[in-house]
Amino acid sequence: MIDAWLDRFGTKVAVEALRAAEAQTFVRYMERYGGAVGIVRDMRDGERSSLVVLDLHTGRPQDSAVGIKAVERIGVEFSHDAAGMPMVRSLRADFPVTGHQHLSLPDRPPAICIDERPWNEARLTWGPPELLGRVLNWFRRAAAGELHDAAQPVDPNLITSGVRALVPRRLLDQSASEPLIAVRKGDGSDLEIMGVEDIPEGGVMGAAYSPLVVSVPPEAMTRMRFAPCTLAELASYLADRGIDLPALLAVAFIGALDTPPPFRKALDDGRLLVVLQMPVTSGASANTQTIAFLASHSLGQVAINLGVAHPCDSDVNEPERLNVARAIGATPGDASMLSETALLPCDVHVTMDRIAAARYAGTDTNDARRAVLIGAGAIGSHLATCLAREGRYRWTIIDPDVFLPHNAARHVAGHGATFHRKADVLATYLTDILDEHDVATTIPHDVSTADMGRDAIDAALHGADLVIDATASLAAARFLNDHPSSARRVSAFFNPVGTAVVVLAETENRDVTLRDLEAQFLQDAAVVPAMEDHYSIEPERIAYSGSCGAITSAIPQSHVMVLSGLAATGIVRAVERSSGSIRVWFMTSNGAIGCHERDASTPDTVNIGGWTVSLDAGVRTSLTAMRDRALPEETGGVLTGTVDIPARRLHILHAAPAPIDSEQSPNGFVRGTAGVGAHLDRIRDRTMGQVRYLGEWHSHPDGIDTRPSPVDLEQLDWLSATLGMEALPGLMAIVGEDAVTVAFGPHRASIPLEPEACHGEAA
Amino acid sequence: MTATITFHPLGNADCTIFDLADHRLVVFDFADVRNSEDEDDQRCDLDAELKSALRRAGQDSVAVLCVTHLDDDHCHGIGDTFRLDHRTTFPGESRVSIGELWVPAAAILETNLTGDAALVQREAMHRLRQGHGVRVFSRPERLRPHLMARAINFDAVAHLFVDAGTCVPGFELAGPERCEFFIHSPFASKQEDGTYIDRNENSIVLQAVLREGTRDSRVLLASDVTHEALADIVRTSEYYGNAHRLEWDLIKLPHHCSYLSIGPERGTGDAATVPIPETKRLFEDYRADNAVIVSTSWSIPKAGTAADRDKQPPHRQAANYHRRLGRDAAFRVTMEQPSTAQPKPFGYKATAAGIAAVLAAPNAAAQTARSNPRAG
Repeated sequence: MIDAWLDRFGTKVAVEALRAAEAQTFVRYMERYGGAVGIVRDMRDGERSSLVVLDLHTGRPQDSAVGIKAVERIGVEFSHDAAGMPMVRSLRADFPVTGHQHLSLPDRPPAICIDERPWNEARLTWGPPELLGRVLNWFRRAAAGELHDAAQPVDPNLITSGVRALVPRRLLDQSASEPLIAVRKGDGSDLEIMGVEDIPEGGVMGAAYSPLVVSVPPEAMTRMRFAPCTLAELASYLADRGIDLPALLAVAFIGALDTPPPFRKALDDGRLLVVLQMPVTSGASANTQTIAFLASHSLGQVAINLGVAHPCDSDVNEPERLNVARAIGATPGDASMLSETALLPCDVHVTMDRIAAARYAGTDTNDARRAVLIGAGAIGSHLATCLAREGRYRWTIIDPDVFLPHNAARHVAGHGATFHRKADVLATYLTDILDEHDVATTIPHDVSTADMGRDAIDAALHGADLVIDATASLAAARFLNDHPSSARRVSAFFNPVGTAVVVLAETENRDVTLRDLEAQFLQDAAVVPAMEDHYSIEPERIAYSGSCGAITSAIPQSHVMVLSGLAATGIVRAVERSSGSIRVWFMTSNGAIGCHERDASTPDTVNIGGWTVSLDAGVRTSLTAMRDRALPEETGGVLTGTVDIPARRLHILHAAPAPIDSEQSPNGFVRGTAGVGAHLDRIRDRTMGQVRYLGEWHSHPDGIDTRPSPVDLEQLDWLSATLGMEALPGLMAIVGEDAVTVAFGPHRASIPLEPEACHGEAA
Repeated sequence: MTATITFHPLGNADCTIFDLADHRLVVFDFADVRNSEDEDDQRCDLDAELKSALRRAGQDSVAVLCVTHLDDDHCHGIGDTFRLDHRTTFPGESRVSIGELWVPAAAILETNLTGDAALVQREAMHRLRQGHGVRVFSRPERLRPHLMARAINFDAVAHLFVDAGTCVPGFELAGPERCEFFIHSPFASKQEDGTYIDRNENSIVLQAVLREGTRDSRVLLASDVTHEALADIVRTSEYYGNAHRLEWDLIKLPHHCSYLSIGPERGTGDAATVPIPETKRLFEDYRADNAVIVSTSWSIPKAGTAADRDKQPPHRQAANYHRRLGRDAAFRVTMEQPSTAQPKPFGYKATAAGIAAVLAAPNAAAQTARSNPRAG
């Protein structure tokens, strides 16, 4: 076969007579520099291309994974007009079947695929060293068993149909039980394979084709190297793998006679499309290559040729009647009767489903967990889009808002969505990304509503694997925090000026909640140097309608996309771990992104006087440290933290050291005032007032318990009066040798400094 | 990094450079025999090749220089290229330091040596006196009287001797170098009366094992030994249960493809030299599939030429024997790669799938990295 092909190719010539200039360049390079790698044996010039034949040292190791020889004879084919990639062919009749070989015509030597780039790109830097380097690399990978990919390009010399076929993965798996049809798509030259449930309501327009899916069993698989040109050749290829194609065609034909009209009509009008599923295994990896062949005849005509059908006249009075009828009792003839049907290979594309999306995102997991997204605005829509495009989650989207014109500035949807529910707009958008039936559902109500939608929201939250708060609303976040459903909560929000994004992720068992994380994040915003600008820069406000509450910030979409992308990655990473975390990404003026991150810490929480008071772990540590430093004297300072008045919750986040004008002694402490105002102002400014003054702390020396002394009781009265103005309890914390006591008014509770337990007590 | 083994076109002379997994260089023989005055001399400039190998490996000295025996075609020019500790070094000399010098017993015992052979002997003795930087391949007791007579405390240097049947200390398969060197020769045969006869004491023959992944590649370096010496080595290894130490994936043929390393009769015309039973086992049975045979020699002579009638190797009949063994073995001659007209050094790497040729598509960047452009 090789010699015959070489003879057909063209006559032997000298290097000057090679009409492809690249061929001449290559020969001269090999002769001058490439002698250690290969020797040019022969040059031929053909009708459209020039051929350089060489004996190539492959560098294959002793234990080669495939039967590569130390020296292989190859032919490099250069087209005269340099219009295509040079083709590298093996000129050995028994060259092994490997990955990365072109699918070529049966009468041509097999071609190896050395470069996946399009030729018009590759040629920009193409030269003989690169060609030779790529050939050597192909042999190195082949010998090492690294050519695993299922992808198999079609030899450009093979006349392709140019037809692309689109098929959902589900239909490749269930081909036997469901009737299939292929309809024209795109500009009309491509095909989409559908099952019964995929048929659009208006029915099928134009001629439809009859697909037949054939799966080659894995144990019988050897990679297809030569494309069959007729149905008979394909039948012969499949017969070698234990598959009786004539029988399958007969069954498909008979089965199709009983299908709904568009499926039946394809027997007459359409053409047969054979979709071949071929598992490709190499070592530990397994892949499936799918390729299709478009027949020159309809399945009806093929059935006639096989002898299982006969033609019959159409009847204008019976438009449903086919031109072909079953030949009762007939059995299919042999495969040679299929030789009149020509085949053209076409590319098969599997639709974008969750599996494919995950693979293209570079993740192995096809993550169909149920995620409830609350908030379908700027961050919510971008987050969900990122994650859905990575094949993640079955979404329930909760948002009562309608899409207003200004939303188009920072949303995945645009002008056309105006006055539609944001939840529906996003669900439609997400559903359009993937070929899946359960991408997104919606509940267009406020998550905290007591009216319509309450039951649906509760059911969704209880059924969720993950709850993502993208509302940028403290009230919504706190409602979600307190909802009795058990799924882990994650919250993502931008800072007001749109230069930073925060992702708060609860611990998997929810022993650190969104409330704790929010408080800890605010403490970081108050003190971490890199977060100085987080809240302190005032955003530009824009009124988007006449009402005075209708204002929004000026934030560019580019920031929204950058920050949403970071948050999407952050959410995925955070929920991979069982611990809770706080992560903040902030953009700097030169476009660099900074990141602040810390693991969540579990606060001590006590219930006193109808209030829930949390003491952050960091505060407990710093109280003890400041007390120890001052011993034997007492010391103290101001406490700051967050409040939720309706929920009657306080979270102590920081205990400041004693001002310099304080009076410290072994039996008393009077807090000074120097710097206190500035300290509280700074914390307020850096947290937009969310962290505030909560009360006072002081230490007791060794040997004295942490119950309030008579002096302390007086101060408690003062605190109650001062903070009572703001409907808050005036907190006092007393740190002693082995406990911290938190008190307000007549109530108190103590937290042991061994971290095991805390207990409340009534005064 | 994968270890590589590089051979050099030096006519009938040897130099094999191992670049180990930890980038240390171990050099077996060094014969810089090229005549720099002769433009037509196709033999390589070994001094330059060694220095370029050091640069590639990021080293400024060789870890080991092993002189398998003291013939000129194995040590010519050592005094010009290497820094010898027993000599005064002058400032500005760019000589290459040697970590350890490996020599056979004969390098200590022989007399009347001249030229580079004498330099190697003096250097070995100097290093013995220093008590480090040298390994002598011999039964240790053999050298006791010789050293005592030269006022060297034998017991203080006994650890510098490496006996046959053991591996050279300092190189382990489990270490970063991932290699070991098993010594076949020189060795001693125990006689019935309990005394020893020392054999082949002028040549070091060894098996290098290079590990990559789970694959060990075995390289047999056979110096210049004859079929009788090989027969001794094969029988001794088999007797002591060391048959696996005779296996090879790559062999450097003994004595530049001489028929005498195969059997006693050269053979005539297009015949192949007939091996004796022991060399037949070594070259045929202990050889792995797809193994590589390297003849460090001039080109194999064509039939009827003057070289073909010469007594000196390479012998066409010996080459015929190796070429006709089959099993896809590659037979390579240092003065023929890639072509007789322009021979160049060539290498093999010890990969996780065994020995593979080092091949690269020559390109401008590699070219310019190798040579300096000159302008007048």
